[in-house]
Amino acid sequence: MLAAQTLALPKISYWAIAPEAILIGGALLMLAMSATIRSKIDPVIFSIITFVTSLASIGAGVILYINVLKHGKYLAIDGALSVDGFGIIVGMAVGVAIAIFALSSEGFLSREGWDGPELLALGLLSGTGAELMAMANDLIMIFLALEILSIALYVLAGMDGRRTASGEAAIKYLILGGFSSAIFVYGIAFVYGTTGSTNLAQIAAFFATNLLAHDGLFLVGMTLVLIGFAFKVAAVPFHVWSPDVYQGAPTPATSFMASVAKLGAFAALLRVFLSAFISYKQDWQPLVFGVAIATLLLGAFGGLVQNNVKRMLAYSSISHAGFILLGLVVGAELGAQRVVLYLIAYTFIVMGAFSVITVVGGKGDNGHDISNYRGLARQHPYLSGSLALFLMAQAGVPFTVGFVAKFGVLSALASSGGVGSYTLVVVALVSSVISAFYYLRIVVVTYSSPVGIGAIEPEPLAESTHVASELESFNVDELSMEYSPLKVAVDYDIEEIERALDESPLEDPIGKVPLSSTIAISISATATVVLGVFPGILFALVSHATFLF
Amino acid sequence: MTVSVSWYLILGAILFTIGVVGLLVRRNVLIMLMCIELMLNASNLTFVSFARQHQDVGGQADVFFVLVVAAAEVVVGLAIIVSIFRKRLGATADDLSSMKG
Amino acid sequence: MASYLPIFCLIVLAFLFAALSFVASGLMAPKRKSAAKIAPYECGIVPTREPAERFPVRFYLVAMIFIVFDIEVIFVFPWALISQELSTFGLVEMVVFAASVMIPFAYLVSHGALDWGPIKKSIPQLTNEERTTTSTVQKISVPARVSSDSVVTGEKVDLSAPGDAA
Repeated sequence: MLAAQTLALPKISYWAIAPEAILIGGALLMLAMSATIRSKIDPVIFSIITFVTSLASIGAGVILYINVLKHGKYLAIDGALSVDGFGIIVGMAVGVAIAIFALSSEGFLSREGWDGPELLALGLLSGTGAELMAMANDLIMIFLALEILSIALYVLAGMDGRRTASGEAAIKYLILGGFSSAIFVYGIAFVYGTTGSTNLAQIAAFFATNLLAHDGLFLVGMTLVLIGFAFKVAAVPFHVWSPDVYQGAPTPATSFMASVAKLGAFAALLRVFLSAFISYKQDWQPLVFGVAIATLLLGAFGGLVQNNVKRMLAYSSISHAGFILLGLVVGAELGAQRVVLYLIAYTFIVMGAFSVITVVGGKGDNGHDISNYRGLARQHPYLSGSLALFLMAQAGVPFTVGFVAKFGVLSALASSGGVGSYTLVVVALVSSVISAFYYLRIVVVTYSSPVGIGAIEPEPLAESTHVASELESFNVDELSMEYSPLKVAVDYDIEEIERALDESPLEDPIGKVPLSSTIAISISATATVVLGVFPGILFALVSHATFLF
Repeated sequence: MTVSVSWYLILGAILFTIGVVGLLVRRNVLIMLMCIELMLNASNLTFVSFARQHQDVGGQADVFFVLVVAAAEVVVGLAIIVSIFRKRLGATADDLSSMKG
Repeated sequence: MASYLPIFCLIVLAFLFAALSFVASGLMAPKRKSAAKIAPYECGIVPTREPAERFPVRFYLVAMIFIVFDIEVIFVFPWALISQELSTFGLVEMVVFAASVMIPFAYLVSHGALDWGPIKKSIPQLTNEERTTTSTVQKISVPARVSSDSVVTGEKVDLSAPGDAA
């Protein structure tokens, strides 16, 4: 049948996929190196390759961006990719996140003694999915990119074989992620069935000229697609996986989930609902409205009762997801631009915060209880100071980029004047204030006295941490019975012990902060402050973040 | 009377529902993975039915991609399950409850 | 539709038979429960060990690699059908695709995914190299701060690399 006629080959613009191709190339290069070179390769080399790859990807994005500014937006790869400001800017933010991830992973890999390139290679592949998602203009393309992003993340979550929590996180993420993917693709099937295409441009064109007599099937499909996205961005009521997965996954992987996965998913969510499904805005807006309110409130209240810093940040990222959904409620071009602004700001803040947490976690990646942060300021003023900065930025304190982001979304919402938009603004502000409590709690703990007497920490709620704090309150003699080293130590000269006690009154579980982590934290901190003080840069950038349609 | 497209759509919906219910009620992780496969294949059936209705080959090509993704998910899922349960007795989701709060 | 009637009848009969069997046995069978009858295997012998031996991980590994190649073929078949029309463009795309599958495969092979033969048993390290005089002294001085986590969760603080078991 087909062989008789000549094929019309799609025109492939390789420039359009250059940022993604570079990332895949970097990942394959690392795997090939690890396969062919017999001797052990220092993780520093892999980190450098990842860093350079991400910079090259950003560079390709910049070239693409300039090209778009000069010659306008265009469709590439037979309409599957939309090369426009929105996609390219989000893609570059993904590149930045990968660069910071590469830096903060270097210290992690050296500390934990992981010598393989898996963590970084999977990070690059996952980032490829996020960049593709930001540019994808076809529902199936979005689905594929989403899976490239997610499947790599499932493995990343389960990479830490020493902690059972890591494997548990991977299973939970896999099952719920697979569930959401299946719902998503079933929704795509219905959209395809009713509109006759999976291409966003063609769907938009279909609705411009046609009116569905019976749109029940389409509404089902649209809702299923929205649910699939809501799972990926951890919006209430589809957020339950996120605290567990954030806690269990290795910390660099967690930072990846919090930044890159959300960048990709939100970009695709906005593109689908603001371009293809815009004519059904009356139908999806109330849904998004409700989800946004629930997400904002649960993100704020859920974090209050946590004692694990990674769990707190999971709830914090849920609350941020609520803010970003507000941009979707605003709709149209302004909403999309403010969302991009929020995403860029969020990338820097969250990557910075997780870079600090990676370092504080200590060897074994276990020290994420809030008690581990007590007295951090005394030993590592730089770490605690930058952590305070990032957390304040998340709370939306002025002169940080977090304030700019929240202000951008809320002002757009208030000026949109839609039904209930002021209610949403009030809910968002309340959520912001409540979540500031748990940000402040971490900050206060880092600046409190190192030893646990008179600590500010409230009674822990979780069972495991409860036991942990009981153990902590034991006195030295009682506890050291647990450790046989005491018997060995008795043989030593008592003066030697006293001298050792004087020299290090408190063992520092963190040790020397790796240079790469310091660089990662510095980059994030600089961006947080500079973009916060000069928000004009960001607003100018995102004014070009428009869709092709 | 011929078997119209809507019959296949209904079959797809039934399969999808079985998958969802199975995922929610079963506690064996392997069976949960199978349920996800069932859901994806229900989507495939829906795709093919609609492609038939529209006389469009695009919907059938989409099935390829969904199939591939399903396989990749299974491979990763099996790998994770094997790596976790090598030291445990059973592959039950209720055992995975060390994190709460 | 008429051609489907026999199948439909058969399905109805099958369901009816199953339902009737259940109901009939529930009504007619005598009910005298004993411990042996409630036990999982009602064959008079108390099970002495775990029934099913598990497959070695290697089988799963090979199965997984098989699935990857199985799926790769899905894309090769359509290409093979029209490879003449696609000419150079198709060939280049296919080579890129195959390379991106084969490089990870080379990585797997180099890391021993296909090594059969006797399974090397890992010998647990009895002494910890990182524990020295000074670290012991420091550990006593800081009781709970570092160690409480590993004690409470009951995890072994294993210092070996995580990925090597695969």
